Amino acid sequence: MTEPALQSPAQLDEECRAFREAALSLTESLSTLVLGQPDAVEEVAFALFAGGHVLLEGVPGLAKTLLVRGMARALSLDFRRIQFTPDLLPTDILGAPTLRDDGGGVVFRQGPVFTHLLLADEVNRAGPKTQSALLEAMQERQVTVGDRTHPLAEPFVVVATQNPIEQEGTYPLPEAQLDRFLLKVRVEMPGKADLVRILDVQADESLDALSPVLDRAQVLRYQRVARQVPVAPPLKESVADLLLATHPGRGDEEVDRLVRLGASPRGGQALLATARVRALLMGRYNVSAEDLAILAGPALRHRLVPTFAAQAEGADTDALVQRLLEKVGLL
Amino acid sequence: MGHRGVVNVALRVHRLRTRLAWERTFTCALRACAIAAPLWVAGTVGAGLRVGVLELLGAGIIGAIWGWRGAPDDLATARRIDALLGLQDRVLTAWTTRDDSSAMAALARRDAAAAWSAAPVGPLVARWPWGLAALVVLVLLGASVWRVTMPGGVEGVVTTRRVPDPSPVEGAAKTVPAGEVPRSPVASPGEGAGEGAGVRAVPAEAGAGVLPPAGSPSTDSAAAPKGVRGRAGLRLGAAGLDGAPVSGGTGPSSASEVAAARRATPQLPERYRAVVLRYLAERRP
Repeated sequence: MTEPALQSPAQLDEECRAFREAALSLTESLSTLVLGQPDAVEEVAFALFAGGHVLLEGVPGLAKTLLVRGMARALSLDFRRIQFTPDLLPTDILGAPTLRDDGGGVVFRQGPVFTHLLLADEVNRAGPKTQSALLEAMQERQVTVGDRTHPLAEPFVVVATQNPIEQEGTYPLPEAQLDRFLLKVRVEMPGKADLVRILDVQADESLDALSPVLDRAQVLRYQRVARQVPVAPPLKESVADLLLATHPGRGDEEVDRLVRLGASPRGGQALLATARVRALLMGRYNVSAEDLAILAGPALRHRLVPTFAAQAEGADTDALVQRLLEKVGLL
Repeated sequence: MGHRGVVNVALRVHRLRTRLAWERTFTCALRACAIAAPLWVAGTVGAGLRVGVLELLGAGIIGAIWGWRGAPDDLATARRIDALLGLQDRVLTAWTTRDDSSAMAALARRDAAAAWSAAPVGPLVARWPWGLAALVVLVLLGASVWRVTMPGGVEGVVTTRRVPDPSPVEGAAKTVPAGEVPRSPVASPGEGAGEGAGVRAVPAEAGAGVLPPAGSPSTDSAAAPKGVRGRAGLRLGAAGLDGAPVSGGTGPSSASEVAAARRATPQLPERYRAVVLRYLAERRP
């Protein structure tokens, strides 16, 4: 999709400043709601303004759902939640044609996927067929049922969660489906000071107290603005080097031992898209190597398919990505 | 705002690049000269002043070409500016999008120009190797002075180093007649050939009068049989190397003795030499 040229540089500058202020206000608001998770809050915001989907990984009780609900409220977006279970059907997500009560024929009853912000809770508990239905909607941003295609609303952002520990009765997402997520955000256990604060917080009250920072139109406009941030060709080359370096068979013994399949080109696109947003939020009009280095982990960690040896060792893909960043000169 | 950012950043990068290239070129040329200068001084390459100048010039040109070829291009300069000033790839992006007419690229260029102007220029100032330059200039000056004022001096030094140098004590032993204890290392003018030992003019090419040219009788004395050598003050009683008998009591009578005496006598400038000789003549009984 080609973006319409946005105004003059002065107008665009004003737009960028407004975006920066709004986005910083958003992350500050969410950080008061979700305590002890500043990185997760920022990364979800980056993905949202980059127009991508997020896979949140963390053990239960770390306010993953609260984060998404707060995001929807702060952005004045429609929000739906689907609790994935093994018996969930594709039609439970996408919707289905139903007979009208008055006998006036068949109408399409939209499923929960027709929203702006969708929380797919424990996405790996549903069967592959249901997962595929959601992930197809994520990619195509439309739903085809029968002979009719129904476009999804804009923006459409899926935030899926999964538990990294509990694997029994789950259906791990295949690589092709993992690749659809722009970022994989790790929600870590907060520190002691944050835990003490969390103990005094009533989540519902905090959520009610959250006031909208942006509206849907602004989100869409800022997504377009973020896409225009230039990236210097040498940095793009470095990203390409990084992607190639994640693939086995290129002379890196550790990669050969730990990685079965490296990152896809989509991973590079995801990295650049989120780096553009971060650059704007940091007050720059260009992507820097620092942006790429910081976001390479979230953008690539779920795109590296580990070998059996890596799984057995519990190898950390982030450490590997860090090393490869140094290798290609981005760190 | 327009495209001023383009002109600012791209032009500034190019100017800085040119400056860095010239500085690198000059530095490399100086280094090459510094390497070549000792060779010139030693006289192992050049055979004269003109050859030496050509030698240095050639070395400088080679160094300059080497430096210019290895100088960073505009892109590398932009990256270097970003790295040194902590500009987060602003200049790199501005330079690479210099032909981009989009509003965001123009913003990026303006931002880069502003950030560059606001950054401290200290880290960007090229580290001019003043110490090296001063050293090179000193070496060149010294070499030039040496070559101009002491023609052939270097070759003389080299020749000296290559010739076995008999000790002055041995030379003095030949010079002093048997039974006499030398009063002074300088022979009297009344002895020998009239000039006295050490008085004979030595060609300047011989290098500070340390030794006569190789092949002279005095030089050959180093090859004398062990039996003819003795301690200072003793009559050796052996024939001279040129076959003539060694005269006794009247000073050096053979060329080898004159040469040996000259070795034992430090060369003095003419005005001092005359004073010394007059002094010695007055004191002689």
